[in-house]
Amino acid sequence: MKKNTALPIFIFITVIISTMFFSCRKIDTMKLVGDWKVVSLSSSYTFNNEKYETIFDGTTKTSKHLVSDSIVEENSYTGAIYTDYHSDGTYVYSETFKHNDTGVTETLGVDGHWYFTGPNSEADWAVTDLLAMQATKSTFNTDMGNSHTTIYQGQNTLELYEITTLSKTKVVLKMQKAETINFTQYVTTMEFTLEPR
Amino acid sequence: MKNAKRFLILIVCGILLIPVFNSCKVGDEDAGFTFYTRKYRLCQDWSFSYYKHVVQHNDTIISQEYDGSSYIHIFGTQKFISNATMTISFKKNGTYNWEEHISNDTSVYTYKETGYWYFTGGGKDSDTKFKELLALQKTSHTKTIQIEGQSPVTDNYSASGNLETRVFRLIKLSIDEVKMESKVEQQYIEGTNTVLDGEITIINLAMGAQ
Repeated sequence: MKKNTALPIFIFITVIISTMFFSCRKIDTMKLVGDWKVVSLSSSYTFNNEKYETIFDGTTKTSKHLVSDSIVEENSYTGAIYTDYHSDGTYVYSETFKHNDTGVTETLGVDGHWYFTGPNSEADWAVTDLLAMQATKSTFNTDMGNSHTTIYQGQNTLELYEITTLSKTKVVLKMQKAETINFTQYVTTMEFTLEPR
Repeated sequence: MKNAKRFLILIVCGILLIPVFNSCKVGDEDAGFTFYTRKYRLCQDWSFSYYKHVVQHNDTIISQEYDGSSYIHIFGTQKFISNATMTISFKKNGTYNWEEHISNDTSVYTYKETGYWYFTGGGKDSDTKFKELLALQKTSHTKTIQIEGQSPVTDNYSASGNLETRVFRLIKLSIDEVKMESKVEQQYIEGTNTVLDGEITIINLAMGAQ
């Protein structure tokens, strides 16, 4: 009996081509690459009875320090945050804020590399669920003359963010971690929404 | 004619498979070709055949070295040598276990670490290929030091979520040997001085837990 090998070969070639050209990583890279503006951000850091809280609505940033739910310090700033993810695997993060009372302007710039991590079944992450950011240079300046630049070389640690929404018009990144060091728990939460600049 | 057609299909398939074969060699010392996936090669019980950890702050250097049986701790001009075993197991479900047992005449130190592992890397400007970097995300550790005549001292850490993650560059990942290293240098200005902080970790693994 004569075997028809054309169909399996066609399927095989199609699968190979599909894998090469349309992998999830490539599609998600195309969605992520671009110049983004942070339109909302909320973060908190808690340990024992203390809490540091930041809320940003795209223009105004409010930072609070609470002890036993009472505000002990509150600062308000006006400014903007941008993140530009490049197709070559690098990113540029910048934020500029002017303190609403003192008038001092602070700028923070970070250059680095971004990656998607591979899957992890135990932690329940699929490919491209996590965005890893690795800083290579960080510069902090104020218009009071204070400047601080840190240059990293080599395999600097990764900051991991869960990608909860990824489209060409909106990206939502989330970070939640809880660390217990000798019976004291430190909890960090952060969520920010990006829209095209 | 029919044979020529088959031959042509085989050539096309071969050309399309070239990138797949090339992807075998990711690290500098990786083999040119292997049938085993990177995950299959990594996920085994390993013993450390060499380990070096150096922490530098300007001119102050603290170094620890392990040669497969002895653990050498160097601080300035002082050198301490202990017997040790160091093992690490990578599981296919994405977890790892790291264990150290270091002892001398007067003390015993044990260290157990668990966490998640991920392959990462890639990007034209990053100087790495996808899966060339191994990220280790620690979710717990227990350190116990038992000094003769004293009560044991324990340090505990446990964590969950999107934790900061150490990264190693996989130089070699074969079925019976792994070589990886992490080198981080941090330079900044403090007052009028330039401060240099550095941390180097070199790990060579051989097949089979001790």
